[in-house]
Amino acid sequence: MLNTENLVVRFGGVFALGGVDFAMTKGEVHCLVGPNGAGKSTFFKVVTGQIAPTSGRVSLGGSDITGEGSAQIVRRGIGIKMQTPQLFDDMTVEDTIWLGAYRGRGKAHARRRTAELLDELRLGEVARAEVGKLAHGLRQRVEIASVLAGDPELILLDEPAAGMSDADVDFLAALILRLRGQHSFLVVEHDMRFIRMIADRVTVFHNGKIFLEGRSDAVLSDQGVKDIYLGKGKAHA
Amino acid sequence: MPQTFAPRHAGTLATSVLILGAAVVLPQTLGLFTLLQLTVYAVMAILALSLSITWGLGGVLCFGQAAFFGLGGYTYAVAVTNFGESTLPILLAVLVQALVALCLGWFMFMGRLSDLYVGVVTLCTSLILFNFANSTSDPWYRIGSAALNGFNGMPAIRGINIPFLPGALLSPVQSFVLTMLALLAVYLLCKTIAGSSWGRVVAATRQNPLRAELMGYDTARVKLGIFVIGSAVAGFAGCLFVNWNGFVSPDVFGLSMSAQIMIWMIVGGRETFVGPIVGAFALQALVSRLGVGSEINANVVLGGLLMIFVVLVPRGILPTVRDGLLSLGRKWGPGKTREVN
Ligand SMILES: Nc1ncnc2c1ncn2[C@@H]1O[C@H](COP(=O)(O)OP(=O)(O)OP(=O)(O)O)[C@@H](O)[C@H]1O
Ligand SMILES: [Mg+2]
Repeated sequence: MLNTENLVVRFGGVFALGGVDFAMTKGEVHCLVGPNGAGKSTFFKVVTGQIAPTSGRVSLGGSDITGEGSAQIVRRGIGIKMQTPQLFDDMTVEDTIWLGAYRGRGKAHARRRTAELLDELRLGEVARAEVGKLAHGLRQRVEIASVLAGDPELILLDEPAAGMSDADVDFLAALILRLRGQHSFLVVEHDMRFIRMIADRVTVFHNGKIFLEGRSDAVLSDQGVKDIYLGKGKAHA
Repeated sequence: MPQTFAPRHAGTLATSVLILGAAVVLPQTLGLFTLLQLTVYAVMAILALSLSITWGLGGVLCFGQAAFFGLGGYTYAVAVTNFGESTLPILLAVLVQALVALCLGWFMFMGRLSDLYVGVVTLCTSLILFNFANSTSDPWYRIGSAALNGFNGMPAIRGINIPFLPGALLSPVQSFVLTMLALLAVYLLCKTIAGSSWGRVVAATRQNPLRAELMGYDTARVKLGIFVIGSAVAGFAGCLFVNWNGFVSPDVFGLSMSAQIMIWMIVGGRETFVGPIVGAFALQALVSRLGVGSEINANVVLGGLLMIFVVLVPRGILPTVRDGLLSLGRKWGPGKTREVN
């Protein structure tokens, strides 16, 4: 459902992405891993129209979406949680989720969907609290709820488990496994325990390129991948 | 910060009753001179609310709100001179400014100018209009029977009459009542927008345009919409100003005009709609007091006040006082208000 073709992003002299051919199919839970600066977040930003690629194409469900604006791409059925929190700090949890659900679907739907998600993500207790005043882990959960509220076919999560307690991580993994029938997930993570719980397939980014792609267990036990994480990647690249 | 733009029906009702009460009671208790003064204060309060829509609600930093105020005044002046009747000219003052804002905003927001450049472009627009209006002394600059008269301004402009009855011009007292009712209407418009679903989208766009965009909202269109509404209201204020003044000159486009509006808003508190109204009334009353004994320069005082507020009361009078009272109420009030956190 999501494909990229020779995707290149250059910042001045730095190639953040150096020709990425990526593919994932519908219904998959796909994890992106790789050391800091490998280009994972940049990849997400290109896919969601926040950065225009220097060259290459992005397609979603067969249509070319390269160069489209973020709102336009999102309306095609992508939702994203960014690495740095992107929330409305002065707004309540309830209103934030409502905003995610309201667009294109109207008030009645938004009200019902908000109630569902407050329940599903166990945010009922803080429904009326201001987002800016919540602890980091809760804020992550609110952002995920607001993404789910739009019912996107494909959900991109950039380090959703960062800063979460083990219990929160387990909760999130269970949620993803429960929802995998309705959405496809592409998840950037460093937390190997979390990845093992959720991933069908894993793609390893290194220096802006795909280093390895395959079934979760095979990729995670690969010696070259372990070396990259220990900083010896160049020898295998 | 609390979501202060959310509708609070109790506060809205109290404010509405207060404005309405003033419109009914004051003409019976105050002299004509004071009423005339209060009329122009109310006009400026409407102007302050117009910036509350554009900047406070929409987050669009418009440094040139005077452009729409002035154009509204000139539109009314030219139209009423030609038509000899005020109904259509009032509508034109509003509609023309909506259209001008649509064109200017289309270029700014669809062109994805940054907030700073939006400020610069709106400021430049008002300065260009100021210079242009000043350079129209040549009799060639006339629209129909209305000569623009350059820096001398257009004198003896007809006031507002009862709709479609050109003979029935409003008296100064009636103009005061009309202006107060207009203030009430604009205040309720602000509250309605803020309390609506679209208002929530506007607030989202103001707080985090990236997240709003990533929820699929077309933030450029949202900003354009709020800019058009705010500008139309400024045009309406301009028309009421000319009705009060009977005269319009290029000064309405002046830099000090735009600056004043922002000062009223900042001092009153830009997170609320009552704040800018209070700011507009209080500061104008202060300035006219200072104007009597001319030893003190009013602009210096305004500038000083602005600095004091920006540093010491950055949220302005209204939100600060209200939150102070709320927290006192929580301390001593009967039972704690439920607060989930
Ligand atoms: N806006 C930018 N301007 C210049 N360089 C950038 C910009 N954004 C990212 N980069 C560079 O591009 C490279 C890839 O960054 P990116 O954020 O995509 O990495 P990442 O894989 O998400 O890393 P992390 O695991 O730390 O989040 C890095 O070298 C980074 O410094
Ligand atoms: Mg990253």
